[in-house]
Amino acid sequence: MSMVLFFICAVPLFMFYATGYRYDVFNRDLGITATGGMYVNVGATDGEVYLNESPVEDSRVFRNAIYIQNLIPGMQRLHVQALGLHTWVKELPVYANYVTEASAFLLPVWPQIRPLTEFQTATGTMVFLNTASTSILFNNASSSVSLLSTTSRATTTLVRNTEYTFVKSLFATTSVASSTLLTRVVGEVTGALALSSSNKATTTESATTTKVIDNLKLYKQGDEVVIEYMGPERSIPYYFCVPMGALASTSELYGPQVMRGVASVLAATPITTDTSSASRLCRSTITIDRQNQTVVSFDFFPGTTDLVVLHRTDGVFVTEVDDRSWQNTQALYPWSIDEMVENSGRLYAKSSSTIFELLTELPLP
Amino acid sequence: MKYQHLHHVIILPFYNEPESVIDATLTSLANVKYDPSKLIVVLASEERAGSAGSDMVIKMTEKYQSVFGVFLTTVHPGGVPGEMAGKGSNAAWAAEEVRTKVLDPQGILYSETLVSIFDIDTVLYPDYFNCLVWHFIGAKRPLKSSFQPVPIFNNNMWEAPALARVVAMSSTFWEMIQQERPERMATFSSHSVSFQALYEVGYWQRNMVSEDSRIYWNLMIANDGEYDVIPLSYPVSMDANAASTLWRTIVQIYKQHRRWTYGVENFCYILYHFRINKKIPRGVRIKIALQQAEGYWSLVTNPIMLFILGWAPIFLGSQEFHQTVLSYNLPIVVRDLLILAMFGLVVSSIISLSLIPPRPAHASRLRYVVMALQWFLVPATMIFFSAIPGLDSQTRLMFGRYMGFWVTPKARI
Repeated sequence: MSMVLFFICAVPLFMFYATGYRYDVFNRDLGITATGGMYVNVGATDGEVYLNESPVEDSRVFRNAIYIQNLIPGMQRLHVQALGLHTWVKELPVYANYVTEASAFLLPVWPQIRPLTEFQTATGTMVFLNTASTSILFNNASSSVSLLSTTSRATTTLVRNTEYTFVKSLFATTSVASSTLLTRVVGEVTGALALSSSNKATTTESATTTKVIDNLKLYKQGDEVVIEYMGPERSIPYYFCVPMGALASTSELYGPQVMRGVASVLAATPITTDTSSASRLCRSTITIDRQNQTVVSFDFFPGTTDLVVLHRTDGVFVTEVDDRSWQNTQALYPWSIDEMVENSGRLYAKSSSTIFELLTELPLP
Repeated sequence: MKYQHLHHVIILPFYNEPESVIDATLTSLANVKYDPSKLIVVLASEERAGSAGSDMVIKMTEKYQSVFGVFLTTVHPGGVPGEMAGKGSNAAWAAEEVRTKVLDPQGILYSETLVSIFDIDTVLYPDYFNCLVWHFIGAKRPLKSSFQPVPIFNNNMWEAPALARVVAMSSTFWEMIQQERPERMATFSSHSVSFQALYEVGYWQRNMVSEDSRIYWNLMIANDGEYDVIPLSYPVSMDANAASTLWRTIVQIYKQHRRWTYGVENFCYILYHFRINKKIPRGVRIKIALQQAEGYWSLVTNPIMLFILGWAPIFLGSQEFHQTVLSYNLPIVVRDLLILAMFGLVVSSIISLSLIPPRPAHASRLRYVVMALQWFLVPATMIFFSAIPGLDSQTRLMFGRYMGFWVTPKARI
């Protein structure tokens, strides 16, 4: 009987605990509080997570995300930082019994590149021809690969770098759409042989300035770069939606840019008694913050649809799609380049006659 | 305390078990610390076993006839109308043979005779009958009581595979737990009961599978609820279910547990008679019915629920659910609860090591480590050898696909 009574008493307590209700024995004034949580994806970095400037105890093992629970409902300030990487900051509301999700990204503060040269040694070292050893090859970036510079122009002892040849072909002046089918197939096969990447997401180009991955379409609308979700609402990314209960204060909680999106949805589809039972309202488009710069080209960041790579007139920048509170933008290569192209999960840049790969992570020590 | 007037009938039904198994059982009987002249051993064979059965009877008779007060052999005829071939019908036949050939001719009172029915692989520890007699004499209503020992599957513990050991020891733990709450016990496998009580209900039922537990319900209902199961808190050793290959072992364990969980057929019997027999107090009827229902339900559902509860809602839940604290906390809470429950596994591991027989010379000391770590198999065994066979047997019963008695092959490997 005592076990039955224990079970009857314990089950509701476990249920309340699991749904987020907490009782602070050290602060009884609070009483039983309905708490919320935050779930932050920090990617593969060893970023330190801070909540309202206090470090969050990190219990991640084999996981790239951290779950912060027992949060009093209200605005919370998150920032993720790591040595040598940009800091990611976000202010988001936490609601009772709900978890606010976010995804951080941290790119190297000092741009990391991997130069490509037309010729390389037999062991694969890139060779800069007709270049003095005292020359500064890239004064704006860092590279961890070995490079060789020589004032000679002789190439008899060198090997032609097939990767360079392939990447150079990607920077063709003609558009991809006008390439022959054979050229494109050859390019893809060569790329598959020369490069290896774990990135499985592939970009489909329906037009030269439209990129589609899964149900997300990235395109240009005038001067703006816009991302649009085209799939079923049950799979829509969390940052497109706001809780129905927070509609009235969307601007304060998420910023005017989110408010504008919500307003356009409401204008198109006013809330009725049927839709009012829904727990959230979702936009279908988000405008990517280009920081008043002209966007030359754009694409999804390799391996994810939550980030967009913008080739702007002032450099290459990565901006998150999540525009709640603001969109974090981090410089991948904050200097002007001629062209940028993505292939098999790698980003390549061309500046004058120099071609290099833009790296998104710090090299391993 | 007088006990010399008591006689013991030991019924050993067998079918086609090997000589080594039968011989070990009879040898243990011969070595008990009890007056052998008071022991009436009945080796109950089946006609359908053919010459193998009759040869075995002859061999065992030659060896043990002079050891016990009476060594009786019976042959249960096959094809008796209304009977299901199995342990129950064989034991009932043997009990009647004992009555007509031994008890009545010798004037042995039924009230002074205790019947112990053992599986043929049951090896007795020396003080079994002393323990039984002590409980019988001290019982509140000894002629309205059954006596249940704790089955320990130690006969081949060092030879059986880890899977068989874990399943067997889990059954032992369950029976040990049941010993502490006798008000919820029914008889299981090897047990003892007074001949008088047995005779009054016509012995074990001849037409069903789980006769070992059914006899308790027969007796309980016949006595209008005034019937007890008395835990002996004393072990009997039996064989862990093991075959020559691992796959065969898995199949045998599954079938054995499917037969055990077919005991759900008792639930129908209980409810039917509870509806008719108003002499059993209503509160008792309701309590027992609810206990039995909960027991059979939790047996087949709880392991599966424990397995899926932590992660299934995440896969099956809607997008809205995925944003709730509950969806994030559920795996954490379930994980923490299961970690707490794992301490039970640690305790099980320690206790099991204390129950196993001494390590034979051919087994290395490393086996102790394996014996301790084998308990990590429990989550899998609970699902595949408890929940799923239970679902199988209950579903068969529900759709009228009644099972026959499947004889567990015994082999000392």
